[in-house]
Amino acid sequence: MIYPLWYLAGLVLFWAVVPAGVLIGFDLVRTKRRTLAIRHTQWFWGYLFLAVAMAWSSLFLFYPLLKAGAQSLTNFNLAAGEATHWVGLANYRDLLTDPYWWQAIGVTLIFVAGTLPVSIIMSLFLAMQILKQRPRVQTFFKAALYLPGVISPVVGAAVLKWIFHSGDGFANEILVKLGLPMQNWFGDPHLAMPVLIVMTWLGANGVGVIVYAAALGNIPRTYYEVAELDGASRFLTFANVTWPLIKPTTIFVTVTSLIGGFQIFAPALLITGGGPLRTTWFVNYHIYRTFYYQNEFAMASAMAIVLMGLIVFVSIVSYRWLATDVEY
Amino acid sequence: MATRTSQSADRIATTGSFLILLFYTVLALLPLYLMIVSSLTHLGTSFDLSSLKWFPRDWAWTNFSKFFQLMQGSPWMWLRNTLIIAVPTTLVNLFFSAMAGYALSKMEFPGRRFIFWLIIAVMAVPAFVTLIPLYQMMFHFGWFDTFFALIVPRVAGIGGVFLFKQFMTTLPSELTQAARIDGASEDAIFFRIILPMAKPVLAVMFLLDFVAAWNDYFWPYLVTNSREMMTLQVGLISIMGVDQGVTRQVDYGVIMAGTLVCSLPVVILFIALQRFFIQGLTIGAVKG
Repeated sequence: MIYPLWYLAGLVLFWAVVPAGVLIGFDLVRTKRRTLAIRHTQWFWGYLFLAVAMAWSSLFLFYPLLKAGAQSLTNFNLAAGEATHWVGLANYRDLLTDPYWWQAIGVTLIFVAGTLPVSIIMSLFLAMQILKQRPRVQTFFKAALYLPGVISPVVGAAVLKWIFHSGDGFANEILVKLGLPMQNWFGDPHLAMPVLIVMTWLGANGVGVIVYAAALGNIPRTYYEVAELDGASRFLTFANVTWPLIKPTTIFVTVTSLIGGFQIFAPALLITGGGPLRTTWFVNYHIYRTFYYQNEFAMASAMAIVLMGLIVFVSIVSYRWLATDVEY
Repeated sequence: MATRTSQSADRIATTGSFLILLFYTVLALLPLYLMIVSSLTHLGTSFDLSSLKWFPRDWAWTNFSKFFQLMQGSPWMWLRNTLIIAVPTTLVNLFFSAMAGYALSKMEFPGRRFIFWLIIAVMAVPAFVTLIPLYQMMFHFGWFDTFFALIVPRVAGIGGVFLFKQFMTTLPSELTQAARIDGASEDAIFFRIILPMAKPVLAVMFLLDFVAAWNDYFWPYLVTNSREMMTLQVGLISIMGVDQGVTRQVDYGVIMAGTLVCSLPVVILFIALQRFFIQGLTIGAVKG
């Protein structure tokens, strides 16, 4: 129980001494000097300041990352009881023909496609409305819109379960009052995903709003005055002045939402259990079931690595698509 | 005359957008409001929504005492565990992230850019990639179902380094250079000059880290199995049931009291620090 702490101590010592030592040693040989230069103290202190963060990351981030990659090439599986050996890319090949995997990818893509564009448009729209207000009102709305972001996924799931309870839930109560038929919500294959998507529109725009408001506020007023003098319409001003200038923010919001959206997990674990009829069986939920229930660690690692590749690929594509070299 | 009409048009536009904002905010906060109202209403396990009104009328504080009595008083233990985990991980993480961010922004040494790009690269790695090997590691270490598993992997890392680096890059380099010329040691520069100036970003990171530690449910859910080691979030999951759809019969008044207990600390913290937070969140985001 205690010995892993010695690993950590060793790693801290390693990061504090070895990289700086090696670099300084090389530098002394290169410059053919025998005494330390002033810059060498900087090198030493630089690695010393990084040592703890790098030591922890080595053991709890870099090593697991490499291990996941290596493990995905084996047949490591707690349940089967057979000897672990290298199988090359067999896990990845099996994934290609696994209909549940493709379904999970499809479900996740539906969620991302349903939430991402709307949340970008909504945060931009709300940020523009906020900037028309007085400073104190601005702060109030920014804080109020971010507030759902500090609520835990577990609490969020509990509240959604309660509001959309299939029997006497709050949403059904409203439907009855409006004279509409009650719904089965998370028990209805046609409704579970739409409810999740719409609730994400409502709750998850805090960061986008704040970041967009800051970006919009940074655009020099003179640009708009010039556009007005030229007689540009509101739409043209937005399309030719505002939109290009907030591109970096749009990239930031898009990429962070993509990374988050592809890893959607809590609603499947806590509300729907992936159902009904696997309509909310997200990629992360598939990975969780594979390693936690089936104990197929190698397969689950391969899935997680494919997910990582997918996220990186989509992020780079959207970055390329949006990136411009506008400066102001 | 022309200016007056454009002024009143402005005012109408401002009021209109105010109303839009108000409508959206009410909608976004409605679930939280329902949570508060339900937590103060006697609901019982068979739903009787007629007892639920827009304002709590019966002020059912007993929901809270019922929540804390669930599972032989475990929620108190879960609250204690959550604090034991969240407070040290947040503070220690903050300290080492600030140090690393300072080194990456204000010190000159070979390999600096490489380490910075390494940090950016691993930020995009999905949690599940490392989660599976980490889960196995906890068994190898004998840390499963102990505070070691809940605290040690989370106590330091490079998640917060990026924001500190972005912030400290904006501080004038003349400051640290002048201090160096005056003979201040590197640790003195960090503790006496940089840390005091980094207060706003420290507040932001404290909030982000603490909220993340407090709200984290999946890692504690994976590495605990005894009731004594659960955190509040995991405890709530165990009360609600998991992986089983929406069928479980529970008293939602008591559950909502539990979710309120779970949310109140982070909400209060957020409201207290929100001014720093809104400024600090935009570091490194506006200009790519």
